[in-house]
Amino acid sequence: MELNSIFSLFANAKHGDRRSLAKLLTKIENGEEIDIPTTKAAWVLGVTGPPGAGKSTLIDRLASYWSENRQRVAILAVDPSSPISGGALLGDRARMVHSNPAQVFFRSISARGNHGGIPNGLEHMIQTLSELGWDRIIIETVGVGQGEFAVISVADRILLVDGPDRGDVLQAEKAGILEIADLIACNKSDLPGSLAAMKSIEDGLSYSENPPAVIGVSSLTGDGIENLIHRIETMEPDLAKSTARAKISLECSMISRIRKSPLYDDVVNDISKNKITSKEGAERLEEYYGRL
Amino acid sequence: MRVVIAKAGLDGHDRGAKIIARALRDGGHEVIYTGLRRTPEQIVAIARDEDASAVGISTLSGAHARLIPTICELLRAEGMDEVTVFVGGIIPDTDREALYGCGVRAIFGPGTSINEPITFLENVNERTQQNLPVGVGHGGDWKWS
Repeated sequence: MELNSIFSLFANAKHGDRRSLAKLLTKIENGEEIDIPTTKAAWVLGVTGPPGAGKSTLIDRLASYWSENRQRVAILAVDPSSPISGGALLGDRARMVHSNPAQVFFRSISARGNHGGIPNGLEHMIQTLSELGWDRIIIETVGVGQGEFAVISVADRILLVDGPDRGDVLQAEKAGILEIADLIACNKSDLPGSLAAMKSIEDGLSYSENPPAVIGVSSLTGDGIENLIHRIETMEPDLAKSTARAKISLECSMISRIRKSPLYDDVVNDISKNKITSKEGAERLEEYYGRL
Repeated sequence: MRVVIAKAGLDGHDRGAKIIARALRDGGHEVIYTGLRRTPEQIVAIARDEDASAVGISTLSGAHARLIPTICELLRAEGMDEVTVFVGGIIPDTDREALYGCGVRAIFGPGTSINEPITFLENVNERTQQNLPVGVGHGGDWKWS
């Protein structure tokens, strides 16, 4: 029993035991309370983009570059869970071919029904990894809607990945990702049409205030990767973007708090039966929290 | 349950692995797919980092007699005795006893119904709760049949 306590898992993980680290993250994911010291700010890169843009392949390149340069890289890949079965198919690590699994720590995370929210304990997991000496933490999530961008808002720098013939920048703009993205990687620069794609992304951004830089890369050939890494590492923190991110993550935390309220189901029921308005429902929940 | 579905060695056929991964997802499990051409060492590292309770190895190339015992031994060497190992693919009848002998708990051949691996994992779950042997290092002769 003692061997599996959070304290001893943390101590063993600190000495480099990966199995203890994995078990510690499971406990955090399952909602166990954990008192992790906070002695430093985590370095967290969020990577998002439409399906098929090449996020996992690009992360593989970044991770192998950093790990070859003696950085300890941990990747947390968040995928949606099935709303019907609650199960999840977590396939992001299938793309990890360059980075060495003995060095790079990779953990697949199911959103576990937390649609539009941040998976249980994700922020604690990040803090734990950081305290244990993982100095490059990468969060990966597919960016198809507002909910997924919420996941990424826990990062302090955000990379949006797109590619030729996608035309998703407008979608991304609608969903608000451009407000929080620091850099855009236009992937697959080895393909014909990639220059036109970069141009179209840049055009799409031309009316934005303080638009993120667009960088052409090819995860396949490795072209442009070092330039991208240089940009990531020298990125200046942007106050407006961190404020936008803080808003999103705060709102998401509020949402999951509300959902966990014991009154939640009753209030939903009353609203659905037209007994109260949704505004009154919100007030009832607010009153509940006010009393705590 | 967190389940790793693995492809080991040079075998490049993963249609079956992907179908099983999907079926287990629909059975409510969190399934981590390794991708193709992993070494036994990589598969064990993946199962360790993902804190998987079970590892399913899909093999169609005939290399099972070499790769699967290695994976089982490495899991035990990492102290991951409680991890359940199961196998799917083409395993001739004459090779099966040897795989069970090294800790494999189930072998699913061609024609297996999609529900069978799900039922198997439910069974593993029940046995775990009763503290009965299910893992690669637990010993005992329980196997799915």
